[in-house]
Amino acid sequence: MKVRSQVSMVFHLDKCIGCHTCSIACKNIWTDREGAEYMWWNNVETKPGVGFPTQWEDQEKYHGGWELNDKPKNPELKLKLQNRLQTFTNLFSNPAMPTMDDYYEPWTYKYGDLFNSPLGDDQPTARPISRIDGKPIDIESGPNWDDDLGGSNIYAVNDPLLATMSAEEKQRLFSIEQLFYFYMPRICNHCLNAACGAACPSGAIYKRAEDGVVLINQDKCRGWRMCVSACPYKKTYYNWSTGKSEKCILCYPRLESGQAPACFHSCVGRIRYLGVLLYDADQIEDALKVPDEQLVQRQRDMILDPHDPKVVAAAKESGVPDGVITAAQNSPVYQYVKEWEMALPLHPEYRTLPMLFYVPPLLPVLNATQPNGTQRVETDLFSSLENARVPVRYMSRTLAAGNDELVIKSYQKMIAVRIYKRAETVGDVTKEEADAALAKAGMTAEEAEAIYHLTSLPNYQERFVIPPYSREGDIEELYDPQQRKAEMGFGKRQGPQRGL
Amino acid sequence: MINRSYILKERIYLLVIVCFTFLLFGCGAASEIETAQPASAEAIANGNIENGRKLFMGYVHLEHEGPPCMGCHSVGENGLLGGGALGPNLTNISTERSDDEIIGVLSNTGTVISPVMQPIYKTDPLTEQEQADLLAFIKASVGEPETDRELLVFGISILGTIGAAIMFGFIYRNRLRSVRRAMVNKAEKELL
Repeated sequence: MKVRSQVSMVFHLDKCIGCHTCSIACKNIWTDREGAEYMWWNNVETKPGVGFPTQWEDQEKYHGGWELNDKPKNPELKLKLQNRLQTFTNLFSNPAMPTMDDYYEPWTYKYGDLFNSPLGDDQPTARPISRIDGKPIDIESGPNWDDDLGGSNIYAVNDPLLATMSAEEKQRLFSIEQLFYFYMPRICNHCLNAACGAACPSGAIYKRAEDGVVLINQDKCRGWRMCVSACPYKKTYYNWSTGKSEKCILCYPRLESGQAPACFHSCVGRIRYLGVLLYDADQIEDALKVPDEQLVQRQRDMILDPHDPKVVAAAKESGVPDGVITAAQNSPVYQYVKEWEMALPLHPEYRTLPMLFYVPPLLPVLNATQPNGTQRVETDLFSSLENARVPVRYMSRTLAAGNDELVIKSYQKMIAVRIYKRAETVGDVTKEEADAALAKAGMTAEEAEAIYHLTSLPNYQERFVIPPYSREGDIEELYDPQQRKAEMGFGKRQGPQRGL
Repeated sequence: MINRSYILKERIYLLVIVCFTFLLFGCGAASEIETAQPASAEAIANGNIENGRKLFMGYVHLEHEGPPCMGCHSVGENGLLGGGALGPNLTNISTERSDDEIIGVLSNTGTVISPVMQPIYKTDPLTEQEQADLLAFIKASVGEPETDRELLVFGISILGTIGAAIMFGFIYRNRLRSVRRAMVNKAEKELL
């Protein structure tokens, strides 16, 4: 057993209000530079929808992620993008690259015209200009152009996940009063089997040993952009100004000083949880060589119980610091992913082992309204999950590689918690009904209480259990800082630069 | 953990740079620049037309590794693509210039000196025998047709560029073009 630690995340989609505050926080800190205007390391998508960049989930177009070969007896993983020879032949012209139109042309407005226009009969206007060449443009799209199903007869109907759904299911999804959509905030998943790193011809992408954050070395990156097409989530971006690729860094400078990443910290709906997971690195390869529907279960099996003395001993042997083990024991992510089995990885079928998990959205919950306008929660909720507005098929295609059972199990737990708390606080549901709901979901009252607490009432320290980082301390223990300072003078170290 | 190999790596880089610098100086010291001698009358008398042709065309290297004449000049018939067009066509040059003047240009010692050739052959001077062979070759070529093939070369490069564009266009024909624009166009077509 080779124990590694990973700073992992849970996004509770039931709480997401789609306000984009996370995206703005990230943009203000990291991507307000020339060449990075179009990058959204964090973006929020309306689903069903095409997302950003357009139809990123359609891997027949973008060739992202991994695939298994056709031999069931001797399965082997290979990049969907290309083999080694193709890496060489496509070096100067990668055919699966999203174009600027698939992202969008970043723009600003000519605000100066508001003040400098000559006197006239009309109000002066600030015309939109491109932030790439500075010329006036007609705005055609943006990173959240289909927000709240806007333009859905172009965008939402082209959601790649709808392709396999029946006409009836599709019609139900978009019919008035049955309409269903939810928000999906996305950042880099900091995968265990990152396709971006595997595709990089320069070897510039690496996974940090201490916390598993996937980073691009800006000194080594040669701008081949294989990561851009190989990442199935399209979360690496090419900076046209510096000629290097960039991606979400999980705000590691903030993590190292004990703060949550900016998007987590600023989240209005408090949907985001961050904590350490311990996993067995020896199982990575085998966990990916299984049929689609088993992928989530194998990923859960890989995640180890930090309370198990055997795991703790193995972790210590593998060099995981005590502070990180303690953080793993208090991790809210471990509870959602492994203990309660409510959170699911986004598109596990891409086989990158994403370490960002989503609790599926339950709202809007009801499909029937009583004549007097009130809604009967307990019967409608339970009798009809299959008929409810939440299309389980769609959710399972998004979060469980098509395995409906996992999504239903997660929903049953969420519903049971609601019924349990309603019986306790409102009282229009009897205790027997609540107990029946808990039994159906296969959980105890204590677990329901714990889920309720972590979902609705968690404080900052409960949502973000950041492991202690001791980078400076580690250096001092091994090396005299004065000596290090004297010896690091020769080389190509560069100070961080803003604005370029 | 500190990466000690990083420091080691930089020391190796430094060592390589220092060694390389010494090597460069070593090379510089080894090759001394010879000054050219104009070919003597005796050498001119022994000039070989066939050797001169080979030197001119670049079939045989010049002794000091200077570039062959055909890079810039043409004399008579110089193969399919013709000779160079940067310098003048030298087919009938020996009717306009005396032998001494031609030898003077070839050795950079005469009263007439080519401003283009002078810096090129200053470090790679021609030997006396080479000058004599070239002179013999030039003199023998008088009266041959002057062929200039610039248009042919230009046409071939244009065709080659078009051919390469077609070839790469075919190889990358399945390349991803804008996904969003195609989607919007399709929706617009269906609405109309």
